[in-house]
Amino acid sequence: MKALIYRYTLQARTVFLTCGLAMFGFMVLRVWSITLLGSEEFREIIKHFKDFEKFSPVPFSSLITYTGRVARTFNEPIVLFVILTWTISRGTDTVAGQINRGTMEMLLGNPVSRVRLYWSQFLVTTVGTFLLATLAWLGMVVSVHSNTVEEVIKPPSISIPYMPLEIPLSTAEPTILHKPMSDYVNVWHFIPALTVIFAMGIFVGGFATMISSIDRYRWRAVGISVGFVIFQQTLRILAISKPEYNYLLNFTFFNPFDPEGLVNVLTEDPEQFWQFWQYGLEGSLRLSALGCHSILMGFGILCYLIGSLVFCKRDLPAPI
Amino acid sequence: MSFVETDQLSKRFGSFSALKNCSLQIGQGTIFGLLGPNGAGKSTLIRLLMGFMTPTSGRALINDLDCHQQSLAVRNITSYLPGDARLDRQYRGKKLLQLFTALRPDGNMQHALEIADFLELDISRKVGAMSTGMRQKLAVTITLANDAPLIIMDEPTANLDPTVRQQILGLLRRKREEGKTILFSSHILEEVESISDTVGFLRHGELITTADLTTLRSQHRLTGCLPQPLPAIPDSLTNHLQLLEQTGERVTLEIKGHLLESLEWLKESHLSDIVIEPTRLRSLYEQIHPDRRELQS
Repeated sequence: MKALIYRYTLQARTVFLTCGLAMFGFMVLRVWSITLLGSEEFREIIKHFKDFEKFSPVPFSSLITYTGRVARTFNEPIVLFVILTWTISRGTDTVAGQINRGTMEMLLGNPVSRVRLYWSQFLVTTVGTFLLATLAWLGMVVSVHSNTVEEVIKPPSISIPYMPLEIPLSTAEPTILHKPMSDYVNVWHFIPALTVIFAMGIFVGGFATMISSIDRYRWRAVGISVGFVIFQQTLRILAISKPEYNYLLNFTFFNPFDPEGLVNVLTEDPEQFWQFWQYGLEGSLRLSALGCHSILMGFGILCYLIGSLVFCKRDLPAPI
Repeated sequence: MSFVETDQLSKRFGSFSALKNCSLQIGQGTIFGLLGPNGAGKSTLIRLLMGFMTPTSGRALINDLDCHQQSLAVRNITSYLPGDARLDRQYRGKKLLQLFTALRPDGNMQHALEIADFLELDISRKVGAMSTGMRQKLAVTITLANDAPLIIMDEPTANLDPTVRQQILGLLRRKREEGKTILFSSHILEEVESISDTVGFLRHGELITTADLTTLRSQHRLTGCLPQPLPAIPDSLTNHLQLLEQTGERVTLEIKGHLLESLEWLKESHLSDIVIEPTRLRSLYEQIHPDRRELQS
């Protein structure tokens, strides 16, 4: 098993290094970009998009805080793209990739059981996914600790009730303070974002590996896996667009993949964090940390088990 | 004692029968050559022995281990070279040898380096930069770099020049001398004939016959001219002499064992323009595959 893990690690290292660099670099830059816009300015911008709040996994009131804005970075398409690239590329290589390349037969000509071969790939994929999620978190940590944010202290003013007027009590200019971003952001609050990215990686990796176990062409396994992800995203968009389609959220893994929501519940309502469900706004029920992780990892492991069973039973086709 | 044994082994893919009721035995310490045209079922038989596929019916045993149920144990005592051996292209030859020897408890890197050196293989090159022949040599090196008692090779000399072919056949002979059992398939009759103890002929998924090459080497084929039909072969010679063909004046006979007794009777039969040559595997192949006389190396 050690020899197989070493072999697959060697095979995967280039993709991993590229993905890792992309993930880390993106998170450093993305968190830095938050500092370019102060919270007050961001609040001004976001209030024009009030109609789109339903598309946001967290209330806008959370989104305008530095913690909320940093949490948003974990749900960026680039982060998703990097994790999908890694998990789909490794997952589809497990069986279909090796059959497609013709290297499976040479490998299984040795005393290597199919179970070991399969789960060695699982280990490499899973450890890689965890490291990528960790790199995303580390990128954020580095950026949070190396950047400062501007805090604007306005002169005292009074607001007149029922009128959009604010009368300054002084003619002094607003004071701008530069404070470390870490004063506003506790990096440990983002551990749920790390773990839910990892859990999502397990799910997508499991799905891609299962398809790979059934198929003999890698390109087809990649196509099916990518198509599945797009379909799932479409379901999510449809579900949140209209209340009558809300039930569709139960059929998409993008529902439990909710890094912003989990960071929000940890910071705003930690008591609900370790529960399966949490009560959201207006008494709505939504998945909490335990629910999100259990669903993503549970279905991912189930896919891996089905794939293992299929691979161990199937005929090994001759190289194409 | 049979080291490899199949009993009514069959494999179907939908309505297509790739292998039909194949029963054969291969003795320990012998070389078995598997012959047959493309699609005859050679690779299917080999892949069933390796446990890569589930047989539709029948069973295969290697050293009394069921090839399907105990595939891992079987592969522990078997070294295998696929018909279309493909290797990971991103590694250098040496690295790949290390990776493969590490997969086997009996893998021997030192032995691998010796074989690579014997085959004049440049293992410092990346596999992707190797020619087809070099990659085949590397695959052969990987296969022979261990101490497995059974070696199964599906067309090991494909894509190789005659010199390297001879080197590989030499390596196989050496392995037999060490007591290893070897099963290999090939299209090249001469190389099968030169090293095999037994050959098996497959056609359309059926094992037509097996032949002991030691016996075959003591057989001769005689062709001559005879204007009238050949007289009946006397009972005393029927075990040694067999009429294969008489077309017009041309007669073809097969002589088994000593030539002398048969020749005396043939002399009395007024046969002229006699040509005697040792029976070769080719003539046996042509009997089994009359439509493939042109299939020669």
